[in-house]
Amino acid sequence: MTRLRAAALCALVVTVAAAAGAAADESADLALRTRMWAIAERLDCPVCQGQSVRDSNAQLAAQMRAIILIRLQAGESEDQIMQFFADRYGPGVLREPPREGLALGVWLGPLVVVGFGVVLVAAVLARGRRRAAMPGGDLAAYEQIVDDLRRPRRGG
Amino acid sequence: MIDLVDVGRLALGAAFGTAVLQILLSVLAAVRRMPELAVSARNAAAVQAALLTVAVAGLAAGFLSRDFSMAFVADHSSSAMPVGLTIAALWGGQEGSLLFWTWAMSLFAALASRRMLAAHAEAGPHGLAALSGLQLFFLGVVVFTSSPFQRLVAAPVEGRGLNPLLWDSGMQIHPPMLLTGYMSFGIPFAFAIGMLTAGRVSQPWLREMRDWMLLAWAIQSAGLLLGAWWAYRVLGWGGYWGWDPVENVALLPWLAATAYLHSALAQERRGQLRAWAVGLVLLSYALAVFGTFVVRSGVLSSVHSFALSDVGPTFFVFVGALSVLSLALFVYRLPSIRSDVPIASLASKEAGFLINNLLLLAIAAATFWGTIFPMLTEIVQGARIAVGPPFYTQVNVPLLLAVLGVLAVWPLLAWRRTPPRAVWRAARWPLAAFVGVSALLALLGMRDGLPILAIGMTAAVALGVGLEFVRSLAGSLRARRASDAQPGRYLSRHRRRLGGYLAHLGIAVFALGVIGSSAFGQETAATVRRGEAVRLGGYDVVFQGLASGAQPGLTTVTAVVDVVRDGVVIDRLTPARRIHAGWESQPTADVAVSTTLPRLDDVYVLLSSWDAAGETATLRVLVNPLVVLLWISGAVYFAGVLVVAWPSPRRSPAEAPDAVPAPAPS
Repeated sequence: MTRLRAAALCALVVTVAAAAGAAADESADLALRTRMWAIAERLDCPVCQGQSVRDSNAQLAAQMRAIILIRLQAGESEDQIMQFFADRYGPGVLREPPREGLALGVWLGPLVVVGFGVVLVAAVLARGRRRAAMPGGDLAAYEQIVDDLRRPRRGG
Repeated sequence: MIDLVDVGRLALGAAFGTAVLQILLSVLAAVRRMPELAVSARNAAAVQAALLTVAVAGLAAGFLSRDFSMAFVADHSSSAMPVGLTIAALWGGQEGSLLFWTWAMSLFAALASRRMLAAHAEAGPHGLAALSGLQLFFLGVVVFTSSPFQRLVAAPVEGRGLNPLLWDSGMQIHPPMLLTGYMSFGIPFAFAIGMLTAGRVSQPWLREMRDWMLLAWAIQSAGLLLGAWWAYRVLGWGGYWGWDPVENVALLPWLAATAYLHSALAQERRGQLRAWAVGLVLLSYALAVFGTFVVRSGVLSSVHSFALSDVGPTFFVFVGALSVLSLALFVYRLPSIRSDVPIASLASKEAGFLINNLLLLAIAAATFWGTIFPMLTEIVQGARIAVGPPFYTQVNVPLLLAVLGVLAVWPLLAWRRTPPRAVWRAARWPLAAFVGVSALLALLGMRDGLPILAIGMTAAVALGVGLEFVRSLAGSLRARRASDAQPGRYLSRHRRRLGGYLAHLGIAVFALGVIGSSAFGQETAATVRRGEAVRLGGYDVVFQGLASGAQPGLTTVTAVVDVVRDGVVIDRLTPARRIHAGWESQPTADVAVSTTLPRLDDVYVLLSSWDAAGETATLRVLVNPLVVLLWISGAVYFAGVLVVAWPSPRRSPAEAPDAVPAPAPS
């Protein structure tokens, strides 16, 4: 057992971190805990790089999970809890960028790209149709005939 | 004893000299049209590969002989590390991975330069010059700013060792696969630059370019899939893809290359999307170098740390110059490479390629934008805005669904134009599969719209692919009846198409795995006593006790748990934590996963913590449905890629009515 004890000591960081969460954990029912994980997934762990509060093993993340659970038990809504962390750690803690201010730009970018893509497809097809409409320009009809002659007819 | 630092430096120096010679010879050969010089340049590429092999061998020897007087060896290995891992430490740091990149590039380049000269006498030297330029840059970085051959003034007795997160067999294969993937986009890029500067191209040249891109794309696919597997089984956070910037930038060139491989088909068969395809080749490599820049420069933690990184600014200038120059060249040559065969109808294969290309590029653009946006906000307002998975899923999931929709229908259409009746004939079965499966799921009580829609779509894709297989098989039988030709001939003529469908099937299976795990995954964590269970998703994970083991430099604590369903023990798992000496604050997780049959759930158990007496443990348990399909889909997908890439016996043009020669730009 001494080896086990030493190992436990080594992993102090993890143990302490989890203890806070675990204490609150056991009394909470599954539904509340499921909501806790969902909220934790939407928060960025402030001390880790690119990990969510849900996925991080860091002490701070474990504490934040415990806080989420306590606040859920107190009847706070998801938005209130997110706001609480945003006030405390800044908007950078929200994994989903807000749809306002400078961050709106990140949402608009893909919309612009998709809009551009739709216009491009329409333009290419319109050009193709114009070509086909030109006198003697309907190469496709000619190709179709050649194609039909070349290939055995498909059944079905 | 031979001094490995001297050997390495000498080999690198000589390789650099050879690279300078190679670029001079190939430029001269291109400008003065002197094919003999191009042959010399090609030989220089082979010499360069040999010299870099010596350098890599020197570094590997340093690791194996535990020569801690070499700074890179002392920083990334220790005598406690097993041999396989010690070799893998070669790419465990920046200097080593750049050397590996340069070495792998030199091997590819030695081969590619031969094929270039054979493919086109005039464009060959141009392509070789472009290739030489890329090689010279990386060799310059390795020699002058980031050399792995640095001597320590006082050699330490023991090395620092490798980050324990990298102590895994995946480490031996995932990083070199991604490095090789990133690197190999450079070969088709050089082909594209060569044809643009020469203003000449031939059918064999375009085929070579496509084949090299197929190779690069396959390597990158494997790297991405291995990365997902590694994240899932080793990093231990329960998922396989986190829209992390490092993952995103590896996805970007893959997306552009996937788009290219499809538009190259339209190029080959119909002479369409020609300039577009060349543009995608250029884009793929620009994105690959961008990825390396992002990973290596430190911009991820802060835009300001990049100035401190020794290769950040160099790579920034390189990726910028590369993009601007290739864009300028592309625009300059655009009039001559533009295709004049129009896409006449939305109901045609080529229109499908165009739409799929734009969707893939939209995903790439959104991912790129989300990845760089935090850096932009840091520059503009000093603070970072986090762009996390919620952004990527909200933006990319609809786009990916659209890709699946295109995938279900358009491959079944004809080239050029499909009459409305034929469209209906082709689309009705996938449509029926979509409606039928979605309705069935809704009847079975599934309430969430998105997964219903998505699963219906994968069913449509799978059915479409299945029908094509049946038709091809029937075609081969008809061919046998019609003539005395072997039925195998029919299949081999359609080999690439069928391989492509197999890859599509892989994508559908992959999508199913993603949908299952993201829409129906469950997760909990609880502290339990011996004999108690964590309940989740119909499973009981019963904690049976702790065991611990120690070996020099490593302590392992293992929990023994039984996975129980309906009162029956279906598996025994041993999730563990490993504590490495010198890395106590970072205990790594040994994830334990049990894949259940026939439900295909992954019961995924992590040991979070335990008490000193070994009586209680905190377990984190996830039930991830269908994740196993991701790994199965990989096998299907690569089977398809292999069928596509399988070398075919050379046919004379008379035998290959499918090949429509594209007019060469002049």
